[in-house]
Amino acid sequence: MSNLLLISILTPAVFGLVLFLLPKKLPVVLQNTLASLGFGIPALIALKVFLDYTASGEAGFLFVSNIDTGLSNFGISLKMGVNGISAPLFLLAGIVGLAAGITAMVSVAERMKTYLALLLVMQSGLMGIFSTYDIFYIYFFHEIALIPTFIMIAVWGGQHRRAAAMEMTIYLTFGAMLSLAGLIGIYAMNNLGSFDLISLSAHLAENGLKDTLQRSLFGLLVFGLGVLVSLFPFHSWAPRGYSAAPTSVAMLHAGVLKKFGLYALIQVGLPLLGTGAVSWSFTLGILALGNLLIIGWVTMAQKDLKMMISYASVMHMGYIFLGIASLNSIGVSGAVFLMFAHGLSAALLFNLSIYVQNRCRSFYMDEMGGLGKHTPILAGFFMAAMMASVGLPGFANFWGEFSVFLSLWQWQPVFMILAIFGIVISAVYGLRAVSAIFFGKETESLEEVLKENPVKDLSWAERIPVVLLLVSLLVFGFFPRLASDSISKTTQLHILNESHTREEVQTLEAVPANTILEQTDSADSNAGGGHH
Amino acid sequence: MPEEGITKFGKYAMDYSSLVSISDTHNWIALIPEISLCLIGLFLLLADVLIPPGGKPWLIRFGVGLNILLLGYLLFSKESASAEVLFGGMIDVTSLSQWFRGFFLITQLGIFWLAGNYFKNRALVRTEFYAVVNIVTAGMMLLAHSSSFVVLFVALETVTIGLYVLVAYDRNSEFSLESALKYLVLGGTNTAILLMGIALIYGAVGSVNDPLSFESVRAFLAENPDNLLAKMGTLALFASVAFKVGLVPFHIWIPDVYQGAPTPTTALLSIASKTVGFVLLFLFFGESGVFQPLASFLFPFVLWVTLISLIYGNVTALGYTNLKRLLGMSGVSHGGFLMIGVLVYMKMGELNWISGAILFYLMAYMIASLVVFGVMSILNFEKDEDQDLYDYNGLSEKRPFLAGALTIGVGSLAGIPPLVGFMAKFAFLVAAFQSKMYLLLGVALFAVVVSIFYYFKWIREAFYKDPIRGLSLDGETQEEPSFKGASYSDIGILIFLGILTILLGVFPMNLLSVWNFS
Repeated sequence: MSNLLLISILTPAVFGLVLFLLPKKLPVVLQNTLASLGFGIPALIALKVFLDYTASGEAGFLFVSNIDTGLSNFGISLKMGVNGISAPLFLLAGIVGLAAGITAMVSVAERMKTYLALLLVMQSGLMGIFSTYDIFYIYFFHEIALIPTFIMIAVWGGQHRRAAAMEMTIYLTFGAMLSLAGLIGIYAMNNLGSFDLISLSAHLAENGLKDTLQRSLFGLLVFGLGVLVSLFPFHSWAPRGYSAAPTSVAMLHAGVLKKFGLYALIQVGLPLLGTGAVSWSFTLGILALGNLLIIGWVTMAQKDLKMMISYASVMHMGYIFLGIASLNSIGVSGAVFLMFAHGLSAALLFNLSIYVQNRCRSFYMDEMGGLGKHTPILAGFFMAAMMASVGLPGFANFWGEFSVFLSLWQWQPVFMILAIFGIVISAVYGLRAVSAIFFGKETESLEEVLKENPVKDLSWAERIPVVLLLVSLLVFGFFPRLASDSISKTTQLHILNESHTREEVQTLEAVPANTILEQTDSADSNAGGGHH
Repeated sequence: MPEEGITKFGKYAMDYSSLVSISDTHNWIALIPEISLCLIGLFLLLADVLIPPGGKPWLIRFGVGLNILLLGYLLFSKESASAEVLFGGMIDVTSLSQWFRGFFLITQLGIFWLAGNYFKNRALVRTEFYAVVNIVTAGMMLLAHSSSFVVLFVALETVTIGLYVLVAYDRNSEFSLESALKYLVLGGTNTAILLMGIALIYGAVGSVNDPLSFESVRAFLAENPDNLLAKMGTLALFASVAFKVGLVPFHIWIPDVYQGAPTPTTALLSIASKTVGFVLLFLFFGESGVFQPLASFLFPFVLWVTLISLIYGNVTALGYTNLKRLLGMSGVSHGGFLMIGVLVYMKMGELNWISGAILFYLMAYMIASLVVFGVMSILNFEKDEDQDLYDYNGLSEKRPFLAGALTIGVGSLAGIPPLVGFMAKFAFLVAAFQSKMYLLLGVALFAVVVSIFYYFKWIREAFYKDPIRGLSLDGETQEEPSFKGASYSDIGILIFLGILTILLGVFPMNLLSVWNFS
């Protein structure tokens, strides 16, 4: 079992290398077979790992193995294993990777072989992030996935790709360096001498870091990881980068790689730097509201379809950050669930948007109108994806957002009221986009395009990734328990144990800690179970 | 020294019996690698005159073969540190100096590989290049073994004068000659500063037996850490080392000389000359280093030079599109990065893996530089001094293998996981954190971000094909850029270096800690 995790990392890397080294004139069939294996095997492994994990009913890390890579002096070794938080995200990486891989194979691009090779390297890094619990390797795999992104955007991207790629490179490297400093800081500031998450949290639970130190380290993580996740004032790379990126890269980055920042904040920041988290949570909450309201407003003003979807993806990060900032079990579990759901829905939207753009030969929504008549299936899928992204019940996003609102009610009711406006905003731009693209009379520009190139509906090959993503969204929308049980178990037991988090602060305010714990428990079981 | 042994030369002279006892320590076996390198060099020069022109390529191959044999001898002889006093204490064989022997010899072979490609299509005399590089390498190895300022100076001058010749090697090119002149003037000034430093220390240490040996200087400084003359001398020596490493403000020669010198020489400067600086730093600040007693006095100077180098080197490199200038300034920042290790070393000796980390970084830098310079020399643009970033536009389409190799080399220089350059940088970041030098840490992280910008620009050009390129203004198509291809041996070497880069990045194999000899 533990070897499966390693295989899921190595398979894409090996197939990518093979593709790169094979000669230029490779038959398309062979090329696609190799790539499909490279994306398919990790996806199957991810599904098996996820199902086995949830079936086990455990909360800690399972399928653990340890591989010595010659860094034992630094307390580093490749420790594989998943817990309730990483298991669903591991599955997410598998599903979105497969979908993005198929999308890439369907699309027509120059030098496809090199592109697929780079995409496979990226996939290898993504599988790695969520299957190790050594802090060093979490970062390491993130970088492995990040670098091909830059190259693919610079070479295969759309308009303004050179500028967008450079902007993204600088911004994200900066964020990565800040968070690296924070992660090394955690390692260097205690005498355990290990990057191992399990032993670190055990060690720090007993002899925690000084409060001032916790504050500065958590600050480094909030801003460093915040840049990577496009937290409000540091988001400007994301819309330009995504709209310039080739579709499959945008799917993988917005869907999975961006979740690294949130994942590290939850998996590493919260359990190890509890006091730091408490002192930063209010600031984080305010910035997250900036994501929801300010970026939401900006999203409504977009005319370019891909820009709008990119901004929407930035905006939704606000909910996840709010869930983390609430620092209670429902909020953090909701954030993890929403990360999973948003990864699927963002990838789906990016995927569909390129189909729309290719058919209309335009970037702008007001030139698209009336496409629905010619492409009913595409219209249906797009509407469903938009609804999922808005958070309609029945799709996975709903449960995530719902739990986040519940947790905000406990923490800062004002935040919850403000955050609910986010739903309204996303409904406005979502529905407006659907109606502008698919309904109404055909616009003049679309008619001209139609004269020369009659539009066809989605081909079967194009439908595969869409269906894959949409079905996953629906499955987890109707059966959220598949993931939510193990998520909330893990957050309660391992992330928010009582030695830190807000309960401590609230005890100071003369509120008995027990009541709060009970509240969280009961509300959580409501969130998890009240939907069958 | 016994009273009766004093001759008419006064009390500084030695008596006959001690001269004999010194000559008893002349164990030439200890210097076999250096001596053989010099002999190979001289042999090449001599045979070059006697052999007909058709045989010269074979002569060069024979010489390189001898070098490989020597490397094999070094690797398998497993001669480790000897406690024996050699040459009256002027030579000291330690496991560190053995490591540097191997390092310089491997670098030399790499330079020969670059030279082989460089000399294709160029009407230049070839054998001399190999001869001079052999002698320069011998000088560098000897330097690593020196245990007295006399040997240090002689060895260093052998290296420097050899480098003057190598920089001027393309005698038909104005650029090569111009840069050689600049290097000669600045290098000569640097030698003067070095000599002045040695003289000041000599004056301060004064009347002991052998006042120029490291041992007596160290003993003197331990007793008189406040001696002004010695302090000034130490500063002068540090300036001279900073010149070798290329630290700001002693870097001023770097861009011009790197640009004008033939590519293999540029590689030699950037790998070996930098390493020579660190050999000196090990001799000066290592565990039993000469200036260890003055470490706290020197620390602020070293710190500021490091900080400025990290910032200035990277920010200046941003503006260059000439690749050799760019690599020069990026080398300045790599020097700054390596100095983080030295600073940690000076500050807290108990961090025992830091010397291993410095050696690991040097090795990572050597491998990555060889890959990058290797690709440059394979492409072998006609104007050697004018290799521009934008000349690489569209490389991946024509030569995907070279573009891939370049990406690995440049990525390793930039410090991207899973390449070996990342592990090297990571160790220093951890060290800076553990020794609580937060300013240094912040500047180092800033430097990494800036450096990724220009390194990535290079990768981007290699993979990106400008659609406008190939079209002139009046719409006619221009000649498509053409790139020379790699031969099978080039491919083999590049694959070997690439695999090494990735393998050592994923499995550093505890090299970081194995190498903590100093």
